[in-house]
Amino acid sequence: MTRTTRTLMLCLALPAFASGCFTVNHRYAGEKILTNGPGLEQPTRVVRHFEAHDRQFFWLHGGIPTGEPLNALALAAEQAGPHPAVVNLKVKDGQDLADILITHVPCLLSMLCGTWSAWAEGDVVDYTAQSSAPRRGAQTPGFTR
Amino acid sequence: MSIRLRRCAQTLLVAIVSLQLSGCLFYMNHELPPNTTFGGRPAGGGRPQHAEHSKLKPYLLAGLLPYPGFSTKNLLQPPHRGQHLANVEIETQFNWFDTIVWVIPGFFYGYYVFAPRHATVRGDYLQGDRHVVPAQGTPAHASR
Repeated sequence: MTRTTRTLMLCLALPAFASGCFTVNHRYAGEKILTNGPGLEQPTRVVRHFEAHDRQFFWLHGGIPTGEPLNALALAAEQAGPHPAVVNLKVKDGQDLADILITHVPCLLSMLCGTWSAWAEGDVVDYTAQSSAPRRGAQTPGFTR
Repeated sequence: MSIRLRRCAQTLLVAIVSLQLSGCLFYMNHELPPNTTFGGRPAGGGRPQHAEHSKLKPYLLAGLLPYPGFSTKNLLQPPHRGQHLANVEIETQFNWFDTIVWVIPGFFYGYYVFAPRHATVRGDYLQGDRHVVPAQGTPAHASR
C-alpha cells in the first residue's frame, strides 16, 4: 500500500468518526418563555422583532468543532434580554451562501473545515399593565447554551 | 469574446447560481404545531407524556433539490384538545446512516449526489389547554 493510498484511506475513514459533530442541538433550560405561538396566556405586547444568526466553524468534516455549540433557542433567549418571553419563534439551521462558499472552496468540500449556521427569528414581548401574569423569566436571563 | 472565455463565464454563472440556490435550500426549517413552547416547562399541566420522533430529510445535488416527500414539518403530532406541547428540543444530526450513505461513498460518486440528514424533535404533551392571547403589535408577517 503506497503512502498516497494510506492517506486517501485515512481521509475516507475520518468522516465516519467525525460526522456526529455536525449535530446541532436546539435546547433551552432557562427562565424565558419561548413559543412559536402568537402570544402567551396573559396579555402581552411586542417590544421588538429580531432575527439572530450564529455561525460555528469546524475542522475535519465536523470532527473538531470550535467555539460554542449552535443553539437557536439560546440565541432567542439572549435576544429577549430583560423581557420574559419570545413569541412567533422560528428556528432553522443549515448553510447560507457564506457557509457554502467557506465550506466548499477554501475548505475543500468540508474535508478540511467548514461552517454551519443556526437562525432564530421572533418577537420579544413583555406583559402589559393589565396582565396578572407570574412573570416567569422577567428577573434573570438564566439561559444556557 | 473568445469561445474559451465565454465557456468560463458560463461555467462560473452556473456555479454561482447553483451555490446560491443550494444556499437558499440547504436549510432545515423546524416547523412545529402552533403554540408549541420550547425549553422550560410552563407552570401546571399535570403529568407529561413524553414524545420523540426522528425523520430523515434527503437532499439531491447539495441541497438544490430537497425531496418534498420527506418533510420534517410537524415531527410531533399536534396535541389533542385539552393538551399542549411543551419543553420541546430539536436536533439536527448527521448520524451513522447519513455518514455511510453520504460522506464515504460521496467521495466516489461526486459528494453532492445524495445528502441525507436526520431531524429529531422531543417534547412533552401536557394536559390542559393553553388559551393564548395574541401579543399586541404582532407584525403581520409573523402570523401563523
